[in-house]
Amino acid sequence: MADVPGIGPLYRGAALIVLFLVGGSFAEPALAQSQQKGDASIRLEFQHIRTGNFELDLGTADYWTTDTQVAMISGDYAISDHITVFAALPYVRKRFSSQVDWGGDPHNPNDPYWVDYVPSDKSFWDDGDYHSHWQDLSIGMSFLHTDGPRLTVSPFISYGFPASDYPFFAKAAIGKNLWTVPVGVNLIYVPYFSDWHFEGSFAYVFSEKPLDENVDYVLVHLSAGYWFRPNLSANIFVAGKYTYDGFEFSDFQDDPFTAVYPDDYGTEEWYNHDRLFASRHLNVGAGFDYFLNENYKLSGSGYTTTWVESTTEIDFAFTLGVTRFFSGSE
Amino acid sequence: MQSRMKLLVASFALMLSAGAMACGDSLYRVGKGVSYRVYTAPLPGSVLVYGHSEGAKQLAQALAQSGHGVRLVENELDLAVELKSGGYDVVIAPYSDHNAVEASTLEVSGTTYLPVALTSDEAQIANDSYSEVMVADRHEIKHYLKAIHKTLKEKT
Repeated sequence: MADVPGIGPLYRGAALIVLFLVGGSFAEPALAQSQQKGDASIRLEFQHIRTGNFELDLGTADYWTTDTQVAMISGDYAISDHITVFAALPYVRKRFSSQVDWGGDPHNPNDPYWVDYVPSDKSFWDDGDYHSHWQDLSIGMSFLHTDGPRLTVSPFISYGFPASDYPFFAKAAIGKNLWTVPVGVNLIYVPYFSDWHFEGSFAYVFSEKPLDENVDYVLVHLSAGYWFRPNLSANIFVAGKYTYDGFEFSDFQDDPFTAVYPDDYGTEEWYNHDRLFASRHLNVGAGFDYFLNENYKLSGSGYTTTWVESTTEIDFAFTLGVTRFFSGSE
Repeated sequence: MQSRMKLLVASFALMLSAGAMACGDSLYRVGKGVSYRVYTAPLPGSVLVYGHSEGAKQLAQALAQSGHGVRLVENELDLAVELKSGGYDVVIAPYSDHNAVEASTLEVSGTTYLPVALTSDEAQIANDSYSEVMVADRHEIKHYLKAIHKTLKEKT
């Protein structure tokens, strides 16, 4: 090799790239399987969500907003090379804010119109202050059916149930206080030699039936991401929810010509209206994943609602989370 | 080397609930999500890398991590010995050393030479003799993998 000094720069282009691949904190990242028994992670996440208009079948209600802040801890553990168990518990605080002088229609179970039906929970959360509680604890299991490298397929099932008896008759309610059983599949597709990656999550969610009404729904989450660096990826996504059955706003009126809101709404159906609404929406957003090192990942996203029926639009929302990974091979 | 080069991607990314919206709910997602990028060789082959720079070592390491069996040699003698021993699908070496590579590969059939040009000008010259030429300051590891894959696919 006569031109020994030239050998170094000859590989410079590759070396720069390779340095990204194997340098820094990524000592031996690729030697890990996609899942090994004992792999685990813990994630702490913060969310802030501002909602605005409520889209009804009779029009748009645009006289209040809500602010929701969520602190969530979640984790998973691979009990085998193919089966992972997971759990998540969010702590949620939320407030109602009127945008009009007349009060913005706070939901108050102590209002005088509750005569024929008296709400069981008299908690008043729409007073403009933040109210908080543990929301729904979810536990579940996923099965790594197809383990890449191009396509990863993981069916899952989980069970979510209220971790506290939080009120649900309020614009500031933190949830519906119903159990759910999502059954679905997660798909990840990474073309060979590509910096792109695509994900899809589909779930049918069996829900507890309020007043014996079917409010099961479908969830879809699709994303396309691009690795700008081996440890930095950005993505755009759409997330939708579609409830087939359930109530529209007009369904709560006994007589559309005489019903006067809210005086003629003192019914058990109206008390449960947020559980009964056939809520449908489509959110779009963008996010990122950044590995600080092989054990810690920083993630964030922002999104907004583009289409909605029988529920409230998200004006803006953002999330920020940190995930700590534990390798089963350690 | 048939390594378990897998992309560390999500084992799950679960939507626990969605809604954020009626008067409660939020869209919660839990799971690992996409992890760091690792390229995977769909057809693992046997690759000989010639060079003694840090870059050559790292290239060899990256190819190995993608799933290829890789041997790195740092001098002309070892290059000749390895090539004569046969068994390599691809040899990656500087274009400036193509005479040394050709001298050895001529005696061994089945090994494809993937030259690496230092500059675009050198690549133009190399293109007259070779169908696939890598350019040091332009091509990334994924391009090397793609070129190797193309060669292996043609062999099969």
